[in-house]
Amino acid sequence: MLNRQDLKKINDYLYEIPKSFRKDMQVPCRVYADENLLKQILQDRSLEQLVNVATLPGIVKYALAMPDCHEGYASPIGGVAAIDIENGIVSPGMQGYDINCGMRLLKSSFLEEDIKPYLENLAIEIQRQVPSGLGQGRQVKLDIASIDKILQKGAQTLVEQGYGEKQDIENCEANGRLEWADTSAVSFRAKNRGRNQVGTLGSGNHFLEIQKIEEIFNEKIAKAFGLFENQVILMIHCGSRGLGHQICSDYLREFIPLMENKYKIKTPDKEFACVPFKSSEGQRALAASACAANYAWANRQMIAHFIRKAWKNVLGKQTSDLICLYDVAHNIIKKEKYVIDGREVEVAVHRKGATRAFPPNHPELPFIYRQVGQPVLIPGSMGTASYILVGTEKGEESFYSVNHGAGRAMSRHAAIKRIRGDEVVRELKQKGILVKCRSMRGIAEEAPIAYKDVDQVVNIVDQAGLAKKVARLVPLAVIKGE
Amino acid sequence: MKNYEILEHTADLKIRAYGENLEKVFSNFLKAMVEVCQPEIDSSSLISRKIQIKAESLESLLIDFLSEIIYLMDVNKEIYTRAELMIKGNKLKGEIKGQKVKRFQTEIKAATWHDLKIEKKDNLWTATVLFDI
Repeated sequence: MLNRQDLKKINDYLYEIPKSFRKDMQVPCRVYADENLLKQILQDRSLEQLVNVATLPGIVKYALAMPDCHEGYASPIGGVAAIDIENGIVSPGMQGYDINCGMRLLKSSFLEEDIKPYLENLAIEIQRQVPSGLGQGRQVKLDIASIDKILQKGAQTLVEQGYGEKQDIENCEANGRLEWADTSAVSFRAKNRGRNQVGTLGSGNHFLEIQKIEEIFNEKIAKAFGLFENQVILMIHCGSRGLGHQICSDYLREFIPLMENKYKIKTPDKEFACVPFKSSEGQRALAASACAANYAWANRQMIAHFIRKAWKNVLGKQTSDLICLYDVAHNIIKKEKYVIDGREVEVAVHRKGATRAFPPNHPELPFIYRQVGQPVLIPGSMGTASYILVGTEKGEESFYSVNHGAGRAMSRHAAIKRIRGDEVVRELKQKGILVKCRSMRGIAEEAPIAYKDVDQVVNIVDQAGLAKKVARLVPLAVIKGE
Repeated sequence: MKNYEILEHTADLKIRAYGENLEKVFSNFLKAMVEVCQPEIDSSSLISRKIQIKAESLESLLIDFLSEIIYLMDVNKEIYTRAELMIKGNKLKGEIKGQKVKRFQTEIKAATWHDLKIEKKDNLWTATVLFDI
C-alpha cells in the first residue's frame, strides 16, 4: 500500500507521486487534495490505481486524481489521463461502463417560496413521469432504425422531434452529439438493450433533485449564468444505461486478447484493456463510445422533457419555462488539443468520474458563456449540497478537469450495516428534504455518511484554482426513478 | 458451506462465490445477483433458457457467462436463480432457470475483469469478481 511518505507536497492542494516510485510509470501522478483529505484517500487503493494509470502507453504530463477520488475497477474514480493520439492508446475500461454519465441542470424562474406549496406534488409527479427503467414499465420500445438515429445524432434527434428546445442543444457539451459516432461499430446486443431505455434514470447513485440556490459566491458570473439566490433548480444525474454498459463490455472483451496477442501491450490491470488509438480497432471503439455518449445526451434530453411535462401538469397556468443551464459528462473520452513542452498535441482525455471545466474564450463554449467560462455542475451526495462552478485558465494544468461529486468514502456493504434507509429518509425529512424512492436499501447505500464532505472537496478545487465556485445549491426534494 | 459472500469495495460490488466444482461456483454467482438486484418476482411464470459459451480461458468463460446473464436479465426483465451447467475446459453448456420480474431494485452494470480470480484450494473452488453497479 502507498503511504504518505511516498507523496511529495507541491502546494497546500497538490501532491505528487514521482515517476521513480515504480519503474513502469511513464509520468508522475498528481492528486488534488489537502492533508486531511489525503488521509481519507490513502485508506483505499485509489493511489495504487492512479500509479497504474501512469503506466498507460502515450500518457502525457501526469496521471491525475481529483479530490473526490476513490477506488474503482481500473482507474480510480476521479481519475484523468490525457493520452497522445499519435503514439498512445485508447482504453474503454478507463472510461468506464456508464459512458457519458453526467449532469444536466434546468433553471426555473421561481423562488423556493413560490413552489413550496407544490413541492410534494411536483416530486410525486416527476417520479411518476420519469421511469427508472428497472421494471416492466411503460417505456416505448423503439425499433433499431430509431435507435440508430439517436446513436448518430444524440440529443439533437429528440429536439428535432419536438422533445426540447434549441437552447438545450446550444447549452450542452458537444451540442449533445459527438460527430465521430458510427452506429456500425455498436453491437446488436447494445442496441437491443437501449431500445426501451431512452428517458430512464437507472439506479445506484443516479437521481433527480429539486434544489434551491442557497448561496451565490460570484455575482457577475451567476448573472451570466442566469442564477439568483433562492432560485429553484432541477438537477438530473444519469448516463447511457444498458446500451453504454454493453458497448464498454463488448470492447473490453475484444481488446483483452488483442492487447496481449496482436499489440503486445502490457497493463497492470486487465480492466485497462487498450489498443493503439490510431488502430482500426481503437477507432471503432471510439466511434462506438461516441454512440453511447450520444445516447446518454438523448437520455437526459428525454428526462428533461418528462420533467417539463410534470412541471406543467402540477403548476398549470402558473408554470414557467425550465431552461437548460448546461449539460456535461463525467465519464467520457474526448479529443482535445493542448500545448505540451511548446508543441501542440492532440490527446484523448480519458475522464473517469471527472468533469470537464473549460475556461473563458474556449471555442467549444456556447456563445452566451464564452466570456465567463463553462458552467461546471457538481452534485453532492444525497441530501447534501451541490455546486455550480466555472472553468478557469489555470485549469489547463489538469486538462480542464475537476471532480464529479463528493466521492464515496465507504462501501455500499458497510453503509447498509451502519444505517437503514428509513433512518436516512427521516433525517432528511427533519432537514425539510423530501425523498421519493422505491428502494430503502438503495437509499442506505447512498446515505451522506458513505461519502466525503462535498464542501471540503469543492473548496480544494476552488483553492487549487481549477474552477471557481459560483453557487451552492441545497436539495428540496430527492427523487429516484419509479 | 457458504454459497457466496459480498466483500468490501468502496464503490462497487465484490462477490466471492464458492463451490465443490466450477458448475456450483457459476450457479452461486446467480444467487448473489438475486440478493443484489432484489427483484420483485412475477410469480406466475417460470422460465428456462439454454446457454452455451466457448472462451479462450476459464476467466473469460466466467466473465462471458456473467455478461450473458446481465444481458438476458436486462432485455427480458428476468432473474435467474440457478444454473444447471456442464463446464469442460473453457466451454460451458446448460440451462439457466428463473422467473419473470416486475422490477429490479438495483441493476448491475457489468462484471469487470478487475482483480478477477478463480482458484481451487483443498477441493474447494472460489471465484472473485468485481461488479460495477
